[in-house]
Amino acid sequence: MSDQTAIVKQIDWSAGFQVVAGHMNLGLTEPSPETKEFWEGVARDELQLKRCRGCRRYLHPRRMACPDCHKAGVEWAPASGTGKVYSFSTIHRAPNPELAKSVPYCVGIVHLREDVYLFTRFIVAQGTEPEIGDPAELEFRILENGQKLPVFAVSNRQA
Amino acid sequence: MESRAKNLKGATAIVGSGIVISRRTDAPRRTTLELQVEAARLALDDAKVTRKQVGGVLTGRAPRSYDVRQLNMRVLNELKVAPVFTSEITAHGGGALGTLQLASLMVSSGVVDYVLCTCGNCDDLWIDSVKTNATSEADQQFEAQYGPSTPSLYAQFARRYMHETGATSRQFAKAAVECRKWAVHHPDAIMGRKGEITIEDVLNSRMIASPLHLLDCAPWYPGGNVTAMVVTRREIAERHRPDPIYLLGYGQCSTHEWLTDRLGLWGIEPAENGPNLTRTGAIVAARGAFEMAGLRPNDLDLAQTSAPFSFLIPMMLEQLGFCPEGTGGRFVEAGGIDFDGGFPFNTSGGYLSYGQNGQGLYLLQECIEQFRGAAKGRQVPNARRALVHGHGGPLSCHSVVIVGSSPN
Ligand SMILES: [Zn+2]
Repeated sequence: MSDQTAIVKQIDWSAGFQVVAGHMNLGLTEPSPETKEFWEGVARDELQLKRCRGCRRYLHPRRMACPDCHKAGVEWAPASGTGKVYSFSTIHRAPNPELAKSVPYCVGIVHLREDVYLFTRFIVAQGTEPEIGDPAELEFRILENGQKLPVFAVSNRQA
Repeated sequence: MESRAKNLKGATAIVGSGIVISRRTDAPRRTTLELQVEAARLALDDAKVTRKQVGGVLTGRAPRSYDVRQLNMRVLNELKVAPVFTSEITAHGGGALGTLQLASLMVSSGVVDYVLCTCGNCDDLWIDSVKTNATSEADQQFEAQYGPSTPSLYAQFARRYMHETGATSRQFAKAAVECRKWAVHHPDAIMGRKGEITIEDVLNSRMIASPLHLLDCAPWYPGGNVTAMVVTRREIAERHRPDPIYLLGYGQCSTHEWLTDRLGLWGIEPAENGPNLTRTGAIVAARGAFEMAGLRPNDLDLAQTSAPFSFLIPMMLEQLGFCPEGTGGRFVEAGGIDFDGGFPFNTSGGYLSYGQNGQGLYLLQECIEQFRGAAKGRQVPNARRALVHGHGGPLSCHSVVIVGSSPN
């Protein structure tokens, strides 16, 4: 992929962001040290999920604890990188000019083999849309905002 | 599940209301605070309640065009009232009706006699909601980076709904067509003057985020739209006016903050049987409201729902109880909500044709106009009981209120 030669911007989500309006410092928004390892994994082309040490259920990388056994604690676990299209939408009217260059593009939810759902970009053949249930395979791509992100390539079953 | 709140049926009432609408063409431009204060004063005057009598002040959340923390403090500061209970009710768009529900609980407990509720905004007088809304509806870290627009977030629900129930774009379009027929008769509905539309108009309008076309999406209300209401106990209400609006039942349910997190919910209603996108908190909120009111959907004369996209009309018809689960699309197709002869649904034109305003009680105001026989051209005969549904976030927070012109 040619875009992999672009300079990858790094965002430190763990430290949060200063919210500044003019001369006013309004505070710090959403520091999330609990996702630090997720983004370190993405930098190495690895997708990791949280996993409950108690019931062993896989959880979204954002979760700080298992809702059913929160005392047990969570750990990071690698994901297989395979899943199915759970839902999707092809965007024809982009929310900002940076994204307008990419329309039409497809965003949606992948249901991973580990029974975790992730929001993602679906990579599909030009002019096609996925179908619910289509197999989806993990890839890493640099998207419009310059970040490297986990995305999912869809192979249409009917193709 | 037996409701423990049946004694609240008709125990409290809306005794005064005020609505202020400001258009983009008005000069000078008006702010949310200004409109909230004006609506509050109209409501207090309508109720014949003095500022000294105001025991509680509840506001909806501060809108993007007046981005302050604790909007309730700005409102009470300007009104020069000194409530003993106050808060900003922040359950996204569900917070607007939430103010009335909490007001009812406050006055029915007897700790205060009168609660003032103000909700609304004037975003589009000051900012472009289409441009500012998309990123804030998504999780910045795990969703927004993929470039979703607000319609594309809602489209995830639409696509699952179609997949699981067989509902079609044509059925969604039909819902938009019926909304427009009502809007033609509402003087403040922004799409009303554009006249009626056909199913083909909707299906041929440009695709925004599949499967949603332009005419499947609600326009933002081009200006300010603020409503205030005063809530008190039934016995006090009846001393103030002969025609209070009684709160017969209400319920609320909030399930998530971000779309993806909705699928991290299981083991609890409305995800008792596992993660899903097609059973929303509206099911729980409506069930609570009907149980409190001791009523069934066919006891109602009309209903208003918060549906910023056409597919939400059939989906909410199911979830609010007006047709069996999984049959909303067919219900709409068969004329279930036809302007001519169907169940009166979204009688102001709904979000799709009246216009969407994030924090409004204007859907409830429409019910009050219908009860008072003031809905010219769109009057529902003998309107006595109505359901109002509000929601906010990507189908995150749902509020349902059933109101009536008599307490039972
Ligand atoms: Zn667990």
